[in-house]
Amino acid sequence: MKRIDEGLLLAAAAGALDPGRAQALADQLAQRPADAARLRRLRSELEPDTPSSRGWTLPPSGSWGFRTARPLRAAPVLHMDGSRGLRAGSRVRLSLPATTGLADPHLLVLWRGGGPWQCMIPRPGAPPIAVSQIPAGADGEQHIEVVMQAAAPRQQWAVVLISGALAVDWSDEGAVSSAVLAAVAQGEASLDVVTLTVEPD
Amino acid sequence: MPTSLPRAQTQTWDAFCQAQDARRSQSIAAAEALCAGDPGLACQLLAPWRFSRDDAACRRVVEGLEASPPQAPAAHVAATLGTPPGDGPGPAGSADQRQHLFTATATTPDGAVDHTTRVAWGLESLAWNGARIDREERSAWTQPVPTDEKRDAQVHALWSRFLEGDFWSGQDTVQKLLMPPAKRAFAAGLRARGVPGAMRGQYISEYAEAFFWTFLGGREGTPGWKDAAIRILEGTGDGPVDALGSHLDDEGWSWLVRCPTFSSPSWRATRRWALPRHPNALAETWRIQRDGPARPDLLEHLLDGQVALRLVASWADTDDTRTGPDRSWNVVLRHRSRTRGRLRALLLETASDRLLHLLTLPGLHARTAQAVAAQGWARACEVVHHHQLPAWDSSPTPTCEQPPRTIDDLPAVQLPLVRTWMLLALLRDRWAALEHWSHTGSWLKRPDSGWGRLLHDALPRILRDRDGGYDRLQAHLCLHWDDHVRTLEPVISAIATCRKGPEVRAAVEPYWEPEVPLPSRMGKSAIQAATRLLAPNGSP
Repeated sequence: MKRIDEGLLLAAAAGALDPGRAQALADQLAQRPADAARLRRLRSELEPDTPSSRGWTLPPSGSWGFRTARPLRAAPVLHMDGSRGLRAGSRVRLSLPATTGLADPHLLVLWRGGGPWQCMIPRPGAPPIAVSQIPAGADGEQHIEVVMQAAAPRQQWAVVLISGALAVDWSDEGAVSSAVLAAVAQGEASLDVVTLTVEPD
Repeated sequence: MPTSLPRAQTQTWDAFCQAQDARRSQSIAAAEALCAGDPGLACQLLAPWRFSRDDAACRRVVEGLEASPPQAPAAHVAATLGTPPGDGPGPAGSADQRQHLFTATATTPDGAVDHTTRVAWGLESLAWNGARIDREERSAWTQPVPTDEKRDAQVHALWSRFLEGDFWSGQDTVQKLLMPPAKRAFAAGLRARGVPGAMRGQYISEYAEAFFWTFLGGREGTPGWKDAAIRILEGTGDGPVDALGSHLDDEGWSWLVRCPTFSSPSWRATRRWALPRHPNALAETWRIQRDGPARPDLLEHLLDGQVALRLVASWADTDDTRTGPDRSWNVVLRHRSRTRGRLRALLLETASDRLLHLLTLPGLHARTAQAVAAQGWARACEVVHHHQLPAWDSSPTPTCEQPPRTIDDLPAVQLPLVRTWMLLALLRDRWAALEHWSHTGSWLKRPDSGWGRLLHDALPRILRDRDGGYDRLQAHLCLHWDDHVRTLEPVISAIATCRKGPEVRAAVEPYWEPEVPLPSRMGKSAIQAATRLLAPNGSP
């Protein structure tokens, strides 16, 4: 009898088969003890359940939460020597998303190299910065510049725009991450995550 | 998480052969009767198909099969219409056992197969596939879902919060109970598609990070939780199509009939099969839109019809042999899966209120875990398809764009005008032509200058389409024919009792709308036409 395709067994092992396909497979396995054994082995090999992490549990990329009219844009500041690509110390200009509809927007910037997310702006324990304090450029948009860190070839930067009215004790770091992410989840704050690749020197 | 499979449904080889013998002899007898003009036995064989509840629809399928019989090679004919081999797999599932029939006869030399045998082969195969659809695509979905009191309560609370718009407080539940099955399915999907282990690790890690957020939804497309909710609703009926159909409201049906998929060539053929006495696509659209909300079984009726018609068409292909069991079943799965996918997308746009139904379901943890596992698998397929990780903030579910509106039916104010024109058709003795035209879209006979003048000269401009056509009027008459005839009955009776032309004029004038030209002469022919119409075999 024909051997059962491994993809089908994997789908079964992961519980991703709909009831009809599951029934058809169960019927097939009745005559194929070797395939039934393969299914048991695949079940044990699949990803084990892992506990979720705490703190800044951000998505790896994309735009989330409050829908801004203009998303975050990231562009490298050109090197004076004309070289291309990002290196440690390179500056990247982040054009902030439009804040229309967000009352008294405040800014947080987070960074991640190889490890967990860290809050870069504001300093830990300090309240976020009012976006109104950031001067607009000639194009009417507000920009900030971030510096690529050393020793992390793949860096993620996250920009959160949040209402200044958010009630949280900014000195309590655990409470801050939870309150900010809750606001994003509820669509009351915007979150943009970009990934930048830094070339070795 | 229910990664265990259902109990296998197996039977001995003898039991299979017994059922196969019965189906074979019934198919041969049914084919002989069908070729002699009696479709009754053939229709009985198709009982597992949902359209078999409609005798006329079932007859149209078997008559189509007889008109275009399968081009099955002698080996395939021998497999299902010959004597089964003495030995075969058992206890085994019936699909394996049927496959064995084809394997055992694979070396049968090719030879001529007569028409009746081809029809018998087609009936046997339709009967077999119908039974398999009923078993795997409907009954399998009605099996009880495992329950877990604690986890079900946690997931119930999560859904309650989501449906009330609280997306954050359930974060822990999402991460602990839903992310693991989704992640496992994503990992399994990547592995099934041959993504190298080193890359898989990075992809899986990103997926796990993104999961909660994709469940909430990014800035484009459908949020994951809504997609999961619709997938859960698939398990609440006699198969997913029935289940989704029962959640389609008036708006959902109006989207469905305008969906481009529903207007594709294969669906056009199905619509014509389901609604034979309809003059055009607009009439079919209005009919399904009108009847659908009161007939949740209509979708399965149409889909079973679609699948059966496609099977018959593919078997009749003279360029390629498509009569093997796998190819046939692939036709079934392709059409059913595609339709399910579009139904889910449609419900995502139209069924917000119906999602509350899921809170009443037992085994909510298992159902939700299975839904997110299916999502994880679909995401993995997306990665492989695009050769990169997806934009996590966009939904993998293709959006169902709101289709353009169909033409509205004639407004009530124009109905007296329609009836006056119908009356004119009667007075000019063109009632039969009118009825035929309203239900088929074609002329009863050609040439017919009288009917031509009725259409081109006497029909008020306002009853025509914007482009001068007749689609709307035909569709309107098709759907409201009986209503109009009932309203006209008193005046038709009055005409029938007249003796002279002037009396006819007096009878019709109170009903007449001035936009329709009143004939200058009305004589015996009008009276005779009305009398004929009122006769026992006449329309009113």
